[in-house]
Amino acid sequence: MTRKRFLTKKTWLAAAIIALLIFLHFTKIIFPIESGIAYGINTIADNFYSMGSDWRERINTQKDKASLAENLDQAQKQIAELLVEKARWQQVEQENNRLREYLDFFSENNHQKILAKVVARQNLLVAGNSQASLYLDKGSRQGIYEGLGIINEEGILVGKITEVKQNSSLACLTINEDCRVAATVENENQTLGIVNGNLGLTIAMDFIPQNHKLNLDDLVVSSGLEEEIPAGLLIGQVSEVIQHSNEIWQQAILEPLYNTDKLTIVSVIIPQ
Amino acid sequence: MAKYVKIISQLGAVFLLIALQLSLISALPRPFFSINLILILIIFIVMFSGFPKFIFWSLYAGLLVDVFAFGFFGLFMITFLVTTLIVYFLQINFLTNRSLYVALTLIALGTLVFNFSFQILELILGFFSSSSQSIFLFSGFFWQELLYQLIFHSVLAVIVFYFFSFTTRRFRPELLERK
Repeated sequence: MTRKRFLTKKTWLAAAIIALLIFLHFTKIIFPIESGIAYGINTIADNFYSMGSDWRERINTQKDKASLAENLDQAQKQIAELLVEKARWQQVEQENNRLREYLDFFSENNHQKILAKVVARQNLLVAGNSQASLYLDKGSRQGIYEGLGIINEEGILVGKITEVKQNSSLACLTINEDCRVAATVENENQTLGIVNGNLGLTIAMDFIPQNHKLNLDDLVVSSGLEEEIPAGLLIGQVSEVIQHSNEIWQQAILEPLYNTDKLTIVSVIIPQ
Repeated sequence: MAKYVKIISQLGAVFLLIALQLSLISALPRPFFSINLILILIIFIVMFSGFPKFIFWSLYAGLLVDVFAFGFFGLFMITFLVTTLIVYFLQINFLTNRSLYVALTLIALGTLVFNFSFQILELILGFFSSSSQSIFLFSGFFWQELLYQLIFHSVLAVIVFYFFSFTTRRFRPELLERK
């Protein structure tokens, strides 16, 4: 049996076109065309994402009883608001006592914010990619750069910018295992550590010294050790402390205080 | 003139489908976000239009996704081209008729080829860029998503196949001529 040929001149031509496009991309010659395409997709994607996000929320909500979900939703929102307020007051108190200049970082008015719409999630076409990263419709042209923190409407730190293009950017959520943020626990020791995602559901805080005492429900905020992320932004609440006597560090599991289904608009914080 | 209008409308329709895939499908909850409408379309184009039209459409779709996505530019173009060429090779040499079973087999094989070629390429590129890459073969999440993708793609392939069977003549059972 003879096999029909498929590696013809046209196939090699297609391979050559790909190589040429990659070359033109890296030499930035086709940037205007790319920007145009990205703008077109972002414009359409904005509406579709809101629709998809709405379906997602409905599907997830239908799993529980409707009224219960509504009440829970309101209660969670209130709790989140109160926790944000509590975190703020605790931060202000400590800052007053120790470093007055910290107030400059804490005050909301001192940070410039860029509102960005979520247009897609990371899992594009391929199996095995998590949904714990978001595509935003603002990029370097609007002043966004790598490492900046992003907050939701309640002021909770939900992630940070990891990659930037001219008109779009990629942000990892704090529940993403590859997303690392310097954090501090609002306890006696002001314990410092690094938080990163845990199975795409919760947040883990590592590198906590064994002699530091952590309590359940302690709030964890950004430490300000990263230049791009201001101190005092609420990250989560301690829900479990994992301590083994033979280990150097202990670990805390944090409950993220935001709903990923509702992230359709976020604010990117530009520190000043 | 009508020819150009047809081409532009086809380009626009595929552009819209890609925007829909990238935003709406990616926002859906698990396991629905694993659906890949673009791949289904491209494989049907392989069956429907044949060589070399599918090469153009796979390049076009890959280019749009590459422009939008973050990562190595060209990864999706290469993956789509490899997938369509392998699917085309199987179609012209082994699965020569245009039955539902062939459509289902090609969709399933295309899904496997697409995912494996993408992950392998990403792994190789990650190795060269010294970024940390976990091996997808050991990820339970990957296999689970792949299974869901195969199920969803099979269901969608049946729907698309019967839709085209009733609306066009191209999917009426027939044997391709062998020379």
